Amino acid sequence: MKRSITLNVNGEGRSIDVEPNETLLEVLRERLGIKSPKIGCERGDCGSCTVLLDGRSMRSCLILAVEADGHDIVTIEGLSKDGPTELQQAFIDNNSFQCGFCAPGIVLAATELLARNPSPTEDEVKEAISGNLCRCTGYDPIVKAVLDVGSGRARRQRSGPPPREESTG
Amino acid sequence: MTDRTDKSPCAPDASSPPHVGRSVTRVDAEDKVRGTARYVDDLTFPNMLHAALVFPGVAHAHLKGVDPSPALAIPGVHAVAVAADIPGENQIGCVDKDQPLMPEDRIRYTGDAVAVVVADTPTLAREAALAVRVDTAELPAVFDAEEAMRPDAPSVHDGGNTFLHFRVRKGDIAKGFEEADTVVERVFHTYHQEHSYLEPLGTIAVPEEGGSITIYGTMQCPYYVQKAVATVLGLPLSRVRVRQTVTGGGFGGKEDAPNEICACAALAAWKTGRPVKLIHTREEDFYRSSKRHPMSVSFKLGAKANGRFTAVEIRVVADAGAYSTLSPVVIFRAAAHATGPYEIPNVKTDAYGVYTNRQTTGAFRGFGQPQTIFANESVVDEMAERLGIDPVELRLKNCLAVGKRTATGQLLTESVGLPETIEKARDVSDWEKKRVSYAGDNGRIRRGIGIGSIYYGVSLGAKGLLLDASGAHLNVYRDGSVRIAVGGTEMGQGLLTVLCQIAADSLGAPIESIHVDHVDTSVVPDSGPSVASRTTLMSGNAVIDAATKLKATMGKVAADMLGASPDAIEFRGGFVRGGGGSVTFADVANECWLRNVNTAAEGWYAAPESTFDENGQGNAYAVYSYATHVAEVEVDTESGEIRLIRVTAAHDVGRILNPVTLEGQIEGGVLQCAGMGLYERMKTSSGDITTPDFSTYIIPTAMDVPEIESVFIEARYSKGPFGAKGIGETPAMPGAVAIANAVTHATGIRFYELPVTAEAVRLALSERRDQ
Repeated sequence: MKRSITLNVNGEGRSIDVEPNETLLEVLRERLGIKSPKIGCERGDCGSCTVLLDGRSMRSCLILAVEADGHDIVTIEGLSKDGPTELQQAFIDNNSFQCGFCAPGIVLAATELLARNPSPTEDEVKEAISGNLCRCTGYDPIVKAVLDVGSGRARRQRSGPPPREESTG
Repeated sequence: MTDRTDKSPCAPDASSPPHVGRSVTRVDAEDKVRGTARYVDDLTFPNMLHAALVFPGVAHAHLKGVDPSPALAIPGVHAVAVAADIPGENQIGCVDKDQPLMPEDRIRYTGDAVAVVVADTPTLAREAALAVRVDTAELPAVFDAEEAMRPDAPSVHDGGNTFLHFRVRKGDIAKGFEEADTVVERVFHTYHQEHSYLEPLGTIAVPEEGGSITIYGTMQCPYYVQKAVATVLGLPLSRVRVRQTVTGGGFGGKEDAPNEICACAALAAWKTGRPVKLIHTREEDFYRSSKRHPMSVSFKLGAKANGRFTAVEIRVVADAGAYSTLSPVVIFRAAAHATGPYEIPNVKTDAYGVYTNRQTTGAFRGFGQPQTIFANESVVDEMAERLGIDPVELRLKNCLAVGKRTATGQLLTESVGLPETIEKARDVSDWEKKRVSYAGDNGRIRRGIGIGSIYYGVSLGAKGLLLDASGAHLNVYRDGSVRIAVGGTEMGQGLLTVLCQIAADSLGAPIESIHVDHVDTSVVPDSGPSVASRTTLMSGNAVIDAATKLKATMGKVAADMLGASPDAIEFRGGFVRGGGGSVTFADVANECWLRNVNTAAEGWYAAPESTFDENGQGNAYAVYSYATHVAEVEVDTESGEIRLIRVTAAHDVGRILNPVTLEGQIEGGVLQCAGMGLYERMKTSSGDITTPDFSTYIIPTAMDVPEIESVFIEARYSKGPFGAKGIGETPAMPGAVAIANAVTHATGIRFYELPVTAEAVRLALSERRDQ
């Protein structure tokens, strides 16, 4: 029995009829044509399908579309309508990704972290993305990009001379 | 995390090429972080259907019948393709012709599929696949390679299970062991490792006008897929076009495995006349893709009291799984390199490939070597301990260098940076101090430092059995922009970026004006596979060849424009100079267009000849890459937990083409080594995989990342692009044994199985306490 739901996706209200067993991931990809959330495992292990639901990173393969009815959903298509965000630019500058399949999920997990905690420590960054698997990079340039944005924000927020870069190596 | 600023070992100067050697930003970076990169499952075609495979789920059985009628009765199911529908040959064996696309009478492992169901949606196709009735009669099965070698073992194929034997014979081992003062002999075991690329295998097959078909898919080797689809459909190669889509990781797992899935989708598309998409779930991917070969390696090493190695005797038994797939190439490589990177006068190596009723095994970064490396580098450490020589010193005393000979008798004449990798890894890691200070730990947490050194024959080598040449097509448009097609694939490693750099510097065109495409088999001739650390070398050289031809034709026009001699023309940085004047690269391109001069060119590069005779002697590979990793661990002697705290990774890469993408390759490889060393073992039970997902098959997360210090040695290779040689495999090779050796240093206990898990350490420590 189909149900009519409304998803606020990347700032745009989308009303659709969905089956009660359809996941948010299926609906985003197959019904709405939003392809950035990736299907890596469909059981919540890999984080490739991460989206922001009311600002919190969620695995869209573990949420039914009907559960997301009336909620705000952001995918990376919605982050960057006016060019890359500061964080996305940092990922580009650090050559953070290789195959890129994990990138949409990690960009969103890190976006959520920086919204909550603008100047995270290295351990906090690692913990925030620890549910997102990457097999190519060794994570190091991903963590570094998030720290670059975090430390840049910290610098801009404080007055006086910029803080000394924390030695991480 | 290391600070990578000011680390470029060859700071560019005026005479350096403008782009090669610099950290050029990846050309695909923005698409990947903005979600605009299109992987195969992101594509759709009009009238597209979806397919799913039918797995009987038995490890060894007679196949008595497949009845698709219950599936066909389901509304929305369009067709069920079975073996009898195959218009060509039911055969996809990559080297040996032992593997049907779909078995007709016998199932040999749980990944064998017997039908392809085509339906309106993927979910419906999967449901219908379960409705297909499969009638089987189980046969006795064999799940262990050593057991499979016994004469009374069930035969996976007719004619015995041991189907491969590579020998290396050098000198006289009896004499060599007689000369030895100390002999160490041990047996080592490794198990299935899963590639765990994040994007599962997938494809879309699209029937085209005129009896052709186009295959889109995630893959490393489009020309393999072209051959497989043409064979199965009975088509000439010219009617099968394969277009590689953005590929979400490979690591060897997308070398030959895409042949099967693409041929299945092609058959379904052929039968229905409509585009068909087939994407594996993660679990299907575990069942159906190849793995790293489980190996047992017996390793006996003799040495003089002064540390000089005198003889080595090695027996390798590799579990090839149900079909030979790439085992002939993988086990050749294991055999050729099994001694480790040392000059040893007397060598006897026997490496066997054995069929079992388990998952097929094939290419995985390191290609058969990490398993034998675990053995040789463990034994070298044990020998060091027995002789009272530092492990670094013992390696330096015996390691390969220019003028030394490998196990296959090959004289190394250039580009051997191995000794420097050992020395640099020692110095940068502060080995000498830590080796002493860590040994003094006596609390609950004990630290250890361990080393591993490797060599890796770049490209396919003498028994590669496959084409070892590559092509490139360079097209300069009248506005000076350049589009390049190659036969080598980008799978995440950074090929497109590095080829832009190579093309910009060899053509003298502005790098922003260059675009490199993913592979389309209709554009570039068969260029072999993107494996074996060969792609930058082979495709890079093909690009340089094409650029050289283009500069010759464009140079004549430029000389005319500048009133200079063609010999005096120089292409560099977007300008063409000569006779005291200069014009832009784009001006020359436009002038060529106006004068009807062709500005497209084909490039080609063929690997130098290599040899490997029946005694395993010869120049097995044209050139080798070398690496040494030093790993530092903390071991909790109560829980057995191991924390990898630091890895120093020293690599001889010939020449650095792009420091930042190179470092990315190394860091990713280091973490794959950590996986092999500490966590990853795909477990099976009677042919079923008991760890078919990422909650039971554990790969490293961001929380497991050690501090990684990459060190580069540039022992230039005269035939490499700008002096570079392969780097794809080597980062994933020395680390696992370096970790195991570090755990031994921390605990005093040697481990003979990988991974060295917390459970194994805890058990070994408690056994020692009980003694």
